[in-house]
Amino acid sequence: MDHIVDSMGDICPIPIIKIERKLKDAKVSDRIILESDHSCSTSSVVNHFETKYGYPSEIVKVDEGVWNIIITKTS
Amino acid sequence: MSLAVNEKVETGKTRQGTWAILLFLTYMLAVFFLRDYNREASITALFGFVFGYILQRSRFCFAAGFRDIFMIRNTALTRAILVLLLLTSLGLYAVQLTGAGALPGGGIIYPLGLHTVVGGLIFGFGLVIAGNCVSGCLMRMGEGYLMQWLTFIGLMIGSVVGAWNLGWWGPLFIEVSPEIFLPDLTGWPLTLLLYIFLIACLYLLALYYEKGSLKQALKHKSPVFSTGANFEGLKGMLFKGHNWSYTFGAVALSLTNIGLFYFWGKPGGITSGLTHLAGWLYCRIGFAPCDWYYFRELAYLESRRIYIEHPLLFLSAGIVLGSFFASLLHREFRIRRVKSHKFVASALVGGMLLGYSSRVAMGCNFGGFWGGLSSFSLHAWVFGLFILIGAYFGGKFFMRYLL
Repeated sequence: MDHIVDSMGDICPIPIIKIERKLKDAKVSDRIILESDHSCSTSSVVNHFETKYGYPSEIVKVDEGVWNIIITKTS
Repeated sequence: MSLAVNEKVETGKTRQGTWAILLFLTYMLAVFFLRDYNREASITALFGFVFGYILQRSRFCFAAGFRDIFMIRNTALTRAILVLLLLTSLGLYAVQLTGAGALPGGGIIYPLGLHTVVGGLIFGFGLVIAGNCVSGCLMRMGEGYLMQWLTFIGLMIGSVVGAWNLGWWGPLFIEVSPEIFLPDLTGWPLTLLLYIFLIACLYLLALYYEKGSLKQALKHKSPVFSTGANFEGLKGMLFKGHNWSYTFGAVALSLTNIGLFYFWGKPGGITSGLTHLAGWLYCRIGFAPCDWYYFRELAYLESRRIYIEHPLLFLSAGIVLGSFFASLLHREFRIRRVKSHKFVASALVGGMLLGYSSRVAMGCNFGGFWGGLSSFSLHAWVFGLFILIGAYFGGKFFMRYLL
C-alpha cells in the first residue's frame, strides 16, 4: 500500500518528522511517497531513511522544483 | 544506494537551461568588467558565484548540522561540517606557508567574550526558527523560496539593529575581550595536531551519538558520504544532475574558501556585507548610521557609495545568483510561496535574530564560525558551541509551536 505524505511548502526537518510518523502506521513492504518542493529534502530524507532505517528510497523529479521521494518500508 | 534523480519532467517544457547559460555568460561578463572598477569585488563576486553553485548542488546546510542533532538524531551534516572545518583549516595553514595569505593578519580573528556567547545562543535559536542559516538563506533565495526572501528582510532589519546596538556591546564587552589566535598560545605544530585530533574525536562522537554504539558507528555507510568516492558517483554528480554528496560539497566548499584566501587574502563572510547594505538602505530613508560604532571605520566615507561597494556584499550577491544559476541549469527553479502565516512570522523573526546576533557575535556561520575556526581563532569554537546550545532550545520551540 502507498502512503502519501504531502510536504509541499514545509521546511526542514518537518518532512522527515512527517515520514517517521507515517512509518509507524505502515506495514512491511508499504511505500511512503513524499511530495516535496524542498530541494534539501532530496538529500536529507534519502540519507536519513537509508542510513538510519536501511530503507531503500528513490528520488523522482515530477516537475521543475518538485520531487517525489519513495521510501519502501522493508522491515 | 545513491542520490540519483529519476527525471520525469519532459525536456523542452520550459527553457530554464537556456536561461541558465544566458545568466552565466552575463554574470561572467559583469565580473570581467567589474575587475577594472573594483578588483576586490570582482574576486569575491566570482567566488560567491561558485559558493552558491556548490551550496545548491550539495544541499549543504549549516543549520541542519546544528539542528538535526537534536531534532531527528541525525549527524550527517554535522560530520560534513567537521570535514569542511578541518580541510579549510589545513588549507589556510598551507596557503599562509606560501605567503599568499597571512595568518592571523588575513584571518577572521575576533575578540572572545560575553558577546560571542550571547550572539551564539541567539544565532542558534534563530537558525532553527528561520529554517536556515545565513548562507542557506541566500542559497534558497536563488532557488525561488519566498520564505527566505522574508528571512532576508528580517536579516536586514536585524543587522541594522545589531549594528546600532554595538554602540553598547562594543565598549562594554568587545573592546575588553581578548582576540585569541591559537598558534600564539601553543605554537603551530601543536595547534594543527590539536585540530586534527579534536575534529576527529568530534566526528566519532557524532557517529556514536547517532548510531548508539561504536560498533554500529564503525560499520557506517551512507550515500551522502560515499557517493563521489568512485568514478560512477562522480560522473553522476557532475554530468547527470544527481545531488552532490555532503562530503563532496564539503570538499568543494573548502577548496573554494581556500582559493578565496589565496586570491583575496581573507576567507569569505556574508553578514558584514549585508550589514553595509542595510546601513546604506537606512541612509536612503534619511538616517545617519555613519557615526555608529559599527560603521566608525568607514570614517573616510564621503559619498555613501562605499557602503554598497563592500566586497562581501558582492560575495553574497554571488551566492544568490550562483544558486539561481545552479537551479536553472538543473531545471529546479520554482517560485515557492510561504505555506502559512506561521512561517511568515518565523521567517521574519528568525531572520531578525540571525541578523542581530551575527552583528553582536561579529560574524555569522560563514565568516564568524567557518572562516574564524579555519583561521585558528578561539572565538569561533565558543561561538559554535553556543550556536549548538541555541539550536537545542530552538528545536524545542520549533517542535512545540511550528510543527
